[in-house]
Order: sequence, then structure tokens, then C-alpha cells
Amino acid sequence: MTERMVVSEEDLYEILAFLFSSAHLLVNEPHLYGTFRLIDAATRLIGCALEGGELEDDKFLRQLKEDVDSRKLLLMTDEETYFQLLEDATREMAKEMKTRAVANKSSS
Amino acid sequence: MDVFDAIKGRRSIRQFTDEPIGKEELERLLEAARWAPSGGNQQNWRFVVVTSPPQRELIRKFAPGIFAMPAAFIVICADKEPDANPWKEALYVADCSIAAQNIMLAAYEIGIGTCVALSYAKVAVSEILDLPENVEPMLVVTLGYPAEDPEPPPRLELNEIAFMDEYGKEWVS
Ligand SMILES: Cc1cc2nc3c(=O)[nH]c(=O)nc-3n(C[C@H](O)[C@H](O)[C@H](O)COP(=O)(O)O)c2cc1C
Repeated sequence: MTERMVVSEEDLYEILAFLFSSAHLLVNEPHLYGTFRLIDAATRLIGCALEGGELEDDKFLRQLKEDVDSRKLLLMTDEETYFQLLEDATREMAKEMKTRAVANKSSS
Repeated sequence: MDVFDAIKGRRSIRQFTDEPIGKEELERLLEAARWAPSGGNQQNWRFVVVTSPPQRELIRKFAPGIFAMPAAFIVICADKEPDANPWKEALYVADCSIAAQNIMLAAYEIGIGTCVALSYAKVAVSEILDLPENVEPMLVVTLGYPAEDPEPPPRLELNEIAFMDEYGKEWVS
């Protein structure tokens, strides 16, 4: 596991613009859009991390991004599947982080 | 193309190819907008066509509701009177929306995909486009050659949204 990860300055600015604009818009947008903006921001962040950086070969993050990106727009047409996606992504994150925690413990 | 086929076949397109849109095509879309109806024929709409890569990049960064880079944006603005009353405000929204639909249908006819978006930070877009204080960006239309062919999202049935003679009296097809 890398000790410290930095996104490029350009990516950082792009994500900040997205987050600030989202916060501003969400004052009036439907509350479910908030969930959407969060997972969208998450996959954008993964995209930046995968692009040519140290995490380029991270299969877990690549797969997670693909899963979320392919189903996130279901918010518009199939809320149940969309809610399932939020649950699945959280579970997958927990599984992965547990595996990493165990691996870290046994290596230290 | 039959108008009704265009109305039914148009979809919101959110993935585009890199192919640029020609000036002629863009002008045709502006013409379609120009011929839209407007309250009192006031035509308070203004259209900013954005094709340059740096400007497109900037707008997209402040538009959480726009998912992929389009070949062009048409930012539909209202040139507002100072202290416009609620009636005027409603006209700005209605006029710009109707112009947007004209743009989208005309685009569909010539194979250009569109999506109208409201989820962008107006303050940021005003800054980027250097809009005068009285000009408000009402809607953004993204434009590009489609890289997807989405299924039509469901629509409510006619008998759920249309009534005969009185609200609540069922429309029977
Ligand atoms: C006023 C308005 C605002 C919209 N804003 C967005 C937006 O910010 N982002 C987006 O992807 N789609 C946006 N849409 C597109 C709708 O999601 C879309 O029209 C709807 O799901 C029906 O799909 P269709 O256009 O393919 O028939 C907007 C549509 C309208 C009319």
C-alpha cells in the first residue's frame, strides 16, 4: 500500500470545481441527487488515481469504477437497482478494506 | 423526417464521439431556436455557442449534471429586464425551454445528439462566458454525435396525465 497519494494539481482543481458546484446546486436539487453526486465524485477521484499514477494497476478500484459508472444513471429510470448499487459499492469497499487491514496486520 | 418521429425518437444523449460539429449545422440549430414562439414575441433569449476546447472544459468542470465532454454547448440565456416581475420571470423560463426543444429536435433530424441540462453552477457559467449582469444562463444544451443509443426512459400513461373536460375526468383513448 502506498504511504501517501497525491492527485495532480489539475485533477485536484477539477474535483474541487465539481464538489463546490454540487454543494451549491444541491441546495435546491432533489435529495437523491446528493447520493448521485457523491458516487460520481468518488468515481471521478478513482479515475484520477488510475490515470498514470501509482495506482494504475489497482484492479479493485478499476472494477469498482466500472461497476458504478455503468449503473449510476439508473437513478433516473430504476431507483431500486440504483439503491442496490449504492449498497453493493459500500459492501465491496468494506470487503476490500477488511482484506487490506488483515494483510497489513499480518505483514507488520 | 416526420415531426412526430423526431419527438418520439429524440433521447437525451450523454456519451458523444470526438467528431466536431460543423458551423453550418450549428447555425441550423440556432435558426431552429430563432423560430421558436416567445411570449409577446419578445425574443429575450440569447444563445452562446461554445466550441473551443478550453471553454468547453471549463463549463463541464462546473456542471455536475454533464457527464461527458460534448462537441459543443449552446448556453441558452435570458436577457432580463431589471426588476422583472414574476410573470416576466415565467416567460424567460418558458421561452428558453421552447427554444431548447426546437434545438434538440432540429439536431436529432441531422443526427446530432443532445441533452438539456440544468445541473450546472450558474454563477460559474456566467463568469466563464463573461455574461453581463442582466443575462442569466437558463439552460445548457450539450451537442455531439451520439456514442450511445439509450432506451427510452418510461413515460406515464396518457390516462395518468390527460383529462377530458375536467381535471380528474378520465381521458379514454
Ligand atoms: C429542465 C431539464 C433539466 C435537465 N437537466 C439534466 C441534467 O442536468 N443532466 C442530465 O443528464 N439530464 C438532464 N435532463 C434530461 C432528463 O433527465 C431527460 O430528459 C429525461 O430523463 C427523459 O429522457 P429523454 O430525454 O431521453 O426522453 C434535463 C431535462 C430537462 C427537461
